Amino acid sequence: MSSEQQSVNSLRLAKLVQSASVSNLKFLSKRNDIEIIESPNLPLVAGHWMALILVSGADLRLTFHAQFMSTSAKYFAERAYRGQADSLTQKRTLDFFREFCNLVAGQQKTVLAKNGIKTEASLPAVARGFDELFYQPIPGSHMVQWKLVSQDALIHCLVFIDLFNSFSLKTTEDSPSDSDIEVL
Amino acid sequence: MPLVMIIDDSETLRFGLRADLEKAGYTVIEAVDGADGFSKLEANPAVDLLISDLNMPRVDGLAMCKQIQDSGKYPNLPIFMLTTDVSTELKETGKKVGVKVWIRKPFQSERLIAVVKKLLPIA
Repeated sequence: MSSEQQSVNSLRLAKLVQSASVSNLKFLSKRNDIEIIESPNLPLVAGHWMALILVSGADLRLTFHAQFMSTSAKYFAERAYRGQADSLTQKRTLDFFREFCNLVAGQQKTVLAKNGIKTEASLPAVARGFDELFYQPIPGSHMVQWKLVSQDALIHCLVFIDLFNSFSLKTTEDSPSDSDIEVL
Repeated sequence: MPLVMIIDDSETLRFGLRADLEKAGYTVIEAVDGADGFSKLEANPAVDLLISDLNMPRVDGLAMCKQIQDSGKYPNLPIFMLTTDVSTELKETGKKVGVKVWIRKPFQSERLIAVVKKLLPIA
């Protein structure tokens, strides 16, 4: 696969992850005012905490990271816990971001499957954001960064994409519909 | 009141779903993975409905369904699978091990509650 083709595919995949990140954060946080801000030059570590998940298969590997500070984390998680401030422990806040990663990865799997690309997703994990300092970018790997912002709260998102084979993304559409509850 | 068990490793999801089910009039118990789910089912055999995540640590949702099926004790227990995965193969596997409804995350809670109410009407 030419490097130009690789860049096009990586960019399309990154856009897909961006779109999934904002829609799933809106859904989970029950906030509709979340916006994407393109931020290509952020430092690699931009938050105390990092939630991450891996989607991989024979054709590609994609790692989605969400970095955040505790105050922003509480802001985004509080409505998922019905605004009960006393019930919003650190454990629950971090769980919120694990589930956020899980939803983003699930949407990637679904869209990739629609394009005939089989992948599996890992279980999501949360670590201290500083662990990212030990990350060594793989030559040829594409990294895209953006921020998800609502009022004064923000999440710094990164996706690392490694493509192993040539493929075409015919569709990047994935809109949940009535058929998402199916009687078997 | 009908008894519903939610099995999911995400506390965020359990919290929200529990609140919605309780508001609709159901009694809810929770489990954190498939192993915990099966164990709590054995301790609470009067459970009327299982709503389970698919991907969980230790024992996943489908493995737990197989365990329930193999036990032969709960032939009429309806199971809803809650997952981001919509592959036809997984749904087929789910059907074979007793899954009745496949729900894709993210889901609209009101719609899920409507399906639950149809299956388990509140007297």
